[in-house]
Parts: sequence; structure tokens; C-alpha cells
Amino acid sequence: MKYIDLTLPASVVMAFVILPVSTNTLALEVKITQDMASMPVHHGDDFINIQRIQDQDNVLTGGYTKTSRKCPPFCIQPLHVAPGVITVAELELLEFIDKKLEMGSGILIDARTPAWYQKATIPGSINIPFTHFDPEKSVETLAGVLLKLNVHKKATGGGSFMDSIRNFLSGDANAADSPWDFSQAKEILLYCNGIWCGQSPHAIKNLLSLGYPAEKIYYYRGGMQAWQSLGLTIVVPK
Amino acid sequence: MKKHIKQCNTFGCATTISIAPFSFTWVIASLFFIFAANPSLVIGDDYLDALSTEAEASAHVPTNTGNTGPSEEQVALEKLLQKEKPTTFRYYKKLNRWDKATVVELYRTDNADTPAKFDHLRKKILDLYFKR
Repeated sequence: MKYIDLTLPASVVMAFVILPVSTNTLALEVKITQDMASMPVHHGDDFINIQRIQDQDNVLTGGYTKTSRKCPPFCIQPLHVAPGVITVAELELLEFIDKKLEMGSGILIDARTPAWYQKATIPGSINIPFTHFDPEKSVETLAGVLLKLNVHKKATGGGSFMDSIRNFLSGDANAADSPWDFSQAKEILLYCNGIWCGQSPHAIKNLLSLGYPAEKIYYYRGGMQAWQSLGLTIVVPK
Repeated sequence: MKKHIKQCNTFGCATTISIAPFSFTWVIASLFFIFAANPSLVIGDDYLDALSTEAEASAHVPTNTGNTGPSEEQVALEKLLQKEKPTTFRYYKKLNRWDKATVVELYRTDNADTPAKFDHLRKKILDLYFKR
């Protein structure tokens, strides 16, 4: 009796039947752009895939559905927060994650207070509340924060470093006299709740007053509200 | 900046020199724009209280919270590899998260026909595995 081995032909047929169908199941219907369905990013020790909610009936709930808050303090922010600072939107933020954050030359900063940050944040972010950039609050906190941004103190001729900071802050804010060395400063992208939020603009203006190079600062004006209105992935900090 | 002003009257003409403090004017103008745009760079307690109150009032229900596991695409691809290319899948399993994401991205963007696609995938997986 002759046996006809159908294993090989059967597997070829299956390959041509299953794979095309399976390929379709890999495609997300709601992509980020035509060419981008998702983007991986490190978030602390974890790995997050940024993508969009696929449920096309999904709607926003909670605080980001509000249209009106008292102004002041929750006033509409200008498109350009300061000269030289680049305002970005979602795709530029994703590009920043891909080309700068993941390469180690950039930092994505959620500049909101912890009460906001703990609700949810954009993957890849670290939380530096805008109050930490205010030199009126704590010089020691400011020093620690700037080190995270790879900003180092300049060598001083005499006296302690903290004395030089206090002298600088009590006088005219002149970048040339700044005690900080910004030559190796990271590129930073700051955001907060959205167009009505002044937290990241506050942070940016204080950084500029300290001498941080404007060309190394990016401002995501849309913030958490715009990010979530597009169904993009958020993470709840642990 | 010096400004020469020539003034003439019945008794003749005279030239006076007016020194316009250009840098002073610039400082005043810049300060005006800075403070007009934002009255205070100093953060007041009232603002912080308002932020805190608004944060509490905003009952926030997070959606689409990022998972720390593989994406749907990755899970589907792994099932496919396990079924169609079990040997290759064994190497794939030993890759780190980032290399796995690279493999998934390659499969998603490769426009080659299916058999060639799997060949590209297999080559990529082995390249990533042996470069460790």
C-alpha cells in the first residue's frame, strides 16, 4: 500500500490560509498614525506600549471632561510659553520619547503636583512638581532637581556652593552669573494637565530664569487632557 | 545711545545732546511683557491650594492604563511563531523585552510576502539572540 504523505502539502495550505487571516488580527484599527500603531517606552523598571484605545465608542470620563474652571488660577495658556521654548503636540512628544528619552539625552517631565501625578501620567515620565523649580521655595531642593537634569554647579572661587546660589538668587537673575553649568543639560519636555494648566509654564519660566537654555526646553501644551482625549496610553504610578 | 537735537529760535540755533538710555528702556519693556503675560513667577499658597482642591474634585477614572506585559500584536505573533516556527520561537523566547518589541515591529512593517516575511523574522531573531 502506498502512503501519500499529505503532511507537507497540508502545512503549506494551512500557512497560506492561517497566516493571512492571522496577519489581519495583528493590525490595530485605531493607530497613532498611518505608519505607527504603537511605541514601546521604558517607564521606570517596566516596559509600556503606548497605543490608542481600540474601542471606538470609548469616551472621556472624570475631570478632563470639564470645560470651565475658575480663571485665575486655571487660565488658558498661550501657545508659546516663552521665546525659544518649542511647543509640541503628541507626535512630537512620541518622537522625543523615541529619539531622545530612550537614547538618554532627554527627560520627559510631568510637572504637576503629586496629587495630580498619582492619578495617572504619560508613560516614560518622571514627576518633578513645578514647585521644585521655584528658587523661592528651597535652594537645597533646587540643587537636587537640577542634578537630575544633568546640570552641575560651576566651580566657585571661595565660600560654599550654597552661599553662591543664595548670592545669585538675591541679586539680578543674569544667566552669565548663574552658578549652574548648563553645558551638559538634558533636553527636557514638560507638561501638565492641559491648555488651562499653569504648572508646567511656571516650571519653564523658573528654569529660564535660572539660565536653563531655552532651546533645550519643550512644552507639551495639550497635556494630560489632550493625551487622553486621543485615547493614548497612560500609567498609574505605583 | 545719543540723540542730537537741533533747536532754533529767534536768537539762533543750538544743538543739544540727549542720551537715551537704550538698555534701560529695553529692560523696562521686557519686564512689562514678562509681568503682563504672567503677573508673578512666584508661586503663592493660594494657587497651590486651588490646585489641591481641583485635584480632589476631579474624580479621575483612568482608562487605557498601560500594561507592563506584551501588546496584543506581540501575543498574536508569539502564537504564530510557536505554531509555525517552533525552533525560531525558542530563540525568540530568550530575547529581552526590547528585542522582542523590535521583532514585533519588524513583522508589522515588513511588506514582503508571508514566507519571505518569516525568513526576515527568523534572521532578525537569530541576529538579536547571538548579539547578546
